[in-house]
Amino acid sequence: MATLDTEQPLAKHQATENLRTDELLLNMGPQHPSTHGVLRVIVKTDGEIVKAAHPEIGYLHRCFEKHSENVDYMSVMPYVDRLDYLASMNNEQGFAIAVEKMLGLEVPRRAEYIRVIIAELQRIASHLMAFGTYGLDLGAFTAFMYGFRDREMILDIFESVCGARLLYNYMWIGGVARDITPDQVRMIKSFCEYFKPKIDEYNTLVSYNKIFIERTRDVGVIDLDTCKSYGLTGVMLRAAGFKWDLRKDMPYSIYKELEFDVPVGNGEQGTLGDCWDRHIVRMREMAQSVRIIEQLIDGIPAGPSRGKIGKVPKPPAGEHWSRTECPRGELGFYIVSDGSTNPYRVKCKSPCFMNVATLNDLSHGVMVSDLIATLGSFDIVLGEVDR
Amino acid sequence: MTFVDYCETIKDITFSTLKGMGVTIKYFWKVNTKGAITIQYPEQKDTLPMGSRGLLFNDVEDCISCKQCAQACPVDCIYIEADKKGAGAPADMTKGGVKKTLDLKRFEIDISLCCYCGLCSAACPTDCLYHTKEYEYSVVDRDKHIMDYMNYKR
Repeated sequence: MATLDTEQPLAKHQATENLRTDELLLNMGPQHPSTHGVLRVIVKTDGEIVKAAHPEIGYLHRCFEKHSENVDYMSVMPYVDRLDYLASMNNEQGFAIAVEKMLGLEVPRRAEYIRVIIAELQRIASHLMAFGTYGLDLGAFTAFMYGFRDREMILDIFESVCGARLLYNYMWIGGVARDITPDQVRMIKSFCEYFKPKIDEYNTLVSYNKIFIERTRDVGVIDLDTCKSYGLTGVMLRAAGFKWDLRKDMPYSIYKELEFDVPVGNGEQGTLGDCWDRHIVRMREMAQSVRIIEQLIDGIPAGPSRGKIGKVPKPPAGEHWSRTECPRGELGFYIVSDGSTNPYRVKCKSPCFMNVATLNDLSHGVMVSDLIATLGSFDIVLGEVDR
Repeated sequence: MTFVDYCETIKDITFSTLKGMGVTIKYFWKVNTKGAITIQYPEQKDTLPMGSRGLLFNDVEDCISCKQCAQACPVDCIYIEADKKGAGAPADMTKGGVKKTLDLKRFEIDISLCCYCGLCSAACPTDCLYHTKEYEYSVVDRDKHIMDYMNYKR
């Protein structure tokens, strides 16, 4: 648990001074369950202590950026779904906002309401997944079951709203693909009612469990300077105590009119910016997402759910950069248009790529089990790292 | 860590774990009194909601061979061939009253490539191409996943 000296990790133990130990090169992954996808980490260990961990990415590379150049703007949407496959709706919202700004398109208010409600539901689903699998990484299987039970309800809502459970293609350029019905509004309302008390229950079950706290506090500490030098965003940055949320600080869509808090880590159980802080920030963000949905769900304005837009959108020549707040951080899209139906260039800046890059810095002189705890708390999705 | 701290930690661990166990036991009781919620899949089936995106189906009687679906498809898995109608051919209308000017010769979809995005069915002007709720169509041979809707039997 305590971070040992980087240069001479074994110097403190006098008894082992004369016993020479060899360094062992260990491959963690690409098929290891604690790597959340296909990430290979080459770990250099000295006994139980990690000397270096080198993440190898690229196993899920699917040429998203090149593919996008060969299809029109509407057809990029299914590919955007597949970036961060646990938070597809947030990705879609990010890309749709980028293209709409290029087109100079005004989205109907009804569509904006629906988009924000759905995106916040997706944020809850994504954080539930993070909460569940983090428990799984640390050996607490129960959390996984609870997380998946509630995520299933959100997926049921999504299935009825857009017809798919994981890769939705729901938020189209100019609005949403299908309108929301009163029945679905009722479903979302009853889910919020059901879910509010559950967050406290999960905190009792996992967050404030002493064994969990002992495993995660003072482990994988990322201070603000490291965050800034790596360009970390989202939960990782907020857990380090810095209040930065694009929904609040550079509001897009209708977030300007909404009331919600931005939870930040405060080093309650150990050091500021440790794994426990990252975990608790996620748990508190879920409560804020429910708060946002409850503000919107009763007052969805009437009107069209999709703006007037041609079958094939054709943005004028130029370039545009926009970013939105996804569950894992800021997702940015840089799109260059040459005035034709296909984008000339699409660049995606994914938050998980930065998150996984910090792993090597955090790994010097920690125990192997703490490395897993650190990696789990990043909540990476390899689909987004590799694109 | 002093001995007192050590004992304190053990006490904390015991109590916080018991609290968590309380939550679990609450649900354990509920599940055992209300019955299982698992669906025994091949025998029982879940009812899918309206508009679930399953296997694609094209009603060729209504198709006007406009190829808008093939254009909208991001993975290019829709294959359409159509000829111009002969001069003396009788007028052919769809159910919606749209005149068919082309004679559809081939309409195939490679379902193994399809990503079920729903862009094709949204583009269809006569609503003849749509997603069904069907999801059980595994085959042994990959060629059988090319659905030929001109002579379609399932």
